[in-house]
Amino acid sequence: MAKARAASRKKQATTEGPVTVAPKTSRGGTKGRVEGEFSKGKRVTRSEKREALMQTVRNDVKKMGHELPLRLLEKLVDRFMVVDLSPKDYKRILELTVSNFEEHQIDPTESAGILAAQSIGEPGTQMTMRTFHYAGVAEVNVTLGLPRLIEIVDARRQPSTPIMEIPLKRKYGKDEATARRIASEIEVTTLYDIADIETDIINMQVVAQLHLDRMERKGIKVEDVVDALGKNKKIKGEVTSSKGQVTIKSGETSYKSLQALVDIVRITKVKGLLGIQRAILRQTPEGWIIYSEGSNLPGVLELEGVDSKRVNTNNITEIFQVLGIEAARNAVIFEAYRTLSEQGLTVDIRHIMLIADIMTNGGDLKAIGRHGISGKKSSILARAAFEITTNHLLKAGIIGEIDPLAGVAENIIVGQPVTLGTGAVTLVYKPPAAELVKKAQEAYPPLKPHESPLEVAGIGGEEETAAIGDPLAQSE
Amino acid sequence: MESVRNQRVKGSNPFRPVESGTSVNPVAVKGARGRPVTFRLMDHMLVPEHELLSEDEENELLSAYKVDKSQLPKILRSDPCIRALEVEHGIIEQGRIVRVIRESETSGRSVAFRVVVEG
Repeated sequence: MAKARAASRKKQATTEGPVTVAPKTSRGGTKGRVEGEFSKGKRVTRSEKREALMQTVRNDVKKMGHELPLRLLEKLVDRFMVVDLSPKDYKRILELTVSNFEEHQIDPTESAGILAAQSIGEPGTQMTMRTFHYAGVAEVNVTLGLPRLIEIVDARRQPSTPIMEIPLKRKYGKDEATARRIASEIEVTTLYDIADIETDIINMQVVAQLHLDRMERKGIKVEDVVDALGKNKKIKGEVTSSKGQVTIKSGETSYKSLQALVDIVRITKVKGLLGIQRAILRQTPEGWIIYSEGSNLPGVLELEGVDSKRVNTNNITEIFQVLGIEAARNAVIFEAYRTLSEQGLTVDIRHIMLIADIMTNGGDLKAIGRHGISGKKSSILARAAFEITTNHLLKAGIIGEIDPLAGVAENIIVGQPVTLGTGAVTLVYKPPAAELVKKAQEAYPPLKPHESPLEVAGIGGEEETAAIGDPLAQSE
Repeated sequence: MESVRNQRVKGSNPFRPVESGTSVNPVAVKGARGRPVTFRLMDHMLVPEHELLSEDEENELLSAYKVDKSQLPKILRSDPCIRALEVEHGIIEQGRIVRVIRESETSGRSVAFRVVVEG
């Protein structure tokens, strides 16, 4: 059997030549491979076979009146490709898969949000308070652990340690020199990095002695420096260059303004992208990757040589602004999951997905907490129960807010069953029309007072019927 | 996986199988130096495919889920992905619905809907 299976598997793997597949498998025959539908005599590759099989399985599940997610279908198909099955077994497998899948779906009005909060909150208590980790690169440190998780759910505009991961296109990522050139385009270079800056009080000017060797390494020309200084709107005086020297005249006569000019000149950006302090190279099997301290997504995306499809940043707000709400949702999931699993905590990703869904539901990034989701709850009692109770109650009292008691927190406060599970449904009994009642009574005449329903059905002995059927009999 | 992508069912069906993103909608991501770059936004690994629903599809979706538009998740009109769709479809008014085909960790692929709102 095993031998036969191995042989057939081998046959599967080498179906490059023209192979005729049974034109249609209605799964009516004996034991055999489950197959998709093909036209007769067509050359069939393995992937085409898989596709056709996928379609068949999908349709069969649909015929049963159900639907399965892609991931499950793929798993099924992968097994069907290599296992011989009788039609009966095939059907049984589909049935079992569908019934198991549906059993594991969350029930309507299940408190999914509370489950998610608990499931992230509890492992959160085990997280290290202050963690700095070096993200694979020795020099870049990243906030991780609890502070990072808080940062993510708070939807901070700027993370405390913004970093970017910048893969390069294959052509550019091969050798270090090219990668270094791109890195120098990213990293901010100020005049201070490439020149000694002196104050010439006699002529009221600032002189920058350029380090030509440093400039060459960064690919900066003297004209670039003059250009950058000329573009700086804070510098009003004339900028001239001669023999590795750049002179910036102070437009004013006061000594104080000359001092201010020195400070401006010193931090003038000559090259690079705003906000990125450092760019570090790292070699991977796929080529060189640039990691940056600081983040500037729009700037990096526009650079030549950067693989713009795979550029990533840990600044979620920036992702939202540049790539949109759905990308932000993905980023929240990815960052939160990575932060948790980096600490060795396994949280089901579905909980995190729910958090991300709530944060991005309104089309923009909302924080969890007082300023975000919890502060925007419609129920006044729920809001008061969360934080700054008195302020909420006072405000609600002033404007006369009405609470429809639709949520969980407010119903606990007033001592009612919460609107979850069976508490969420309101059963309405619609009495049948009079003639229907009459018909039913004729078909099933009402029991006489001494008659117990169990007796009528012929179940149970005398003792039990006495106990169940007539409560008065016991109290006597 | 590809089998779903290659099948295109014509007509008004918001739940139609996913088609491959062959249409090109380059988006001018405004670069740091104000230079626009053409780069297909939805090719980025974080950005799922967005598609605009027709009016028929909208109606079918709303009746299938028994919801009205205010109950759907939202997407801003200023969202880069809506901008990208506008390159193809012209101006997208608020109230239109987009179909988002997410690569899902758990289910392989999942489909979500967002209604366009002002902002």
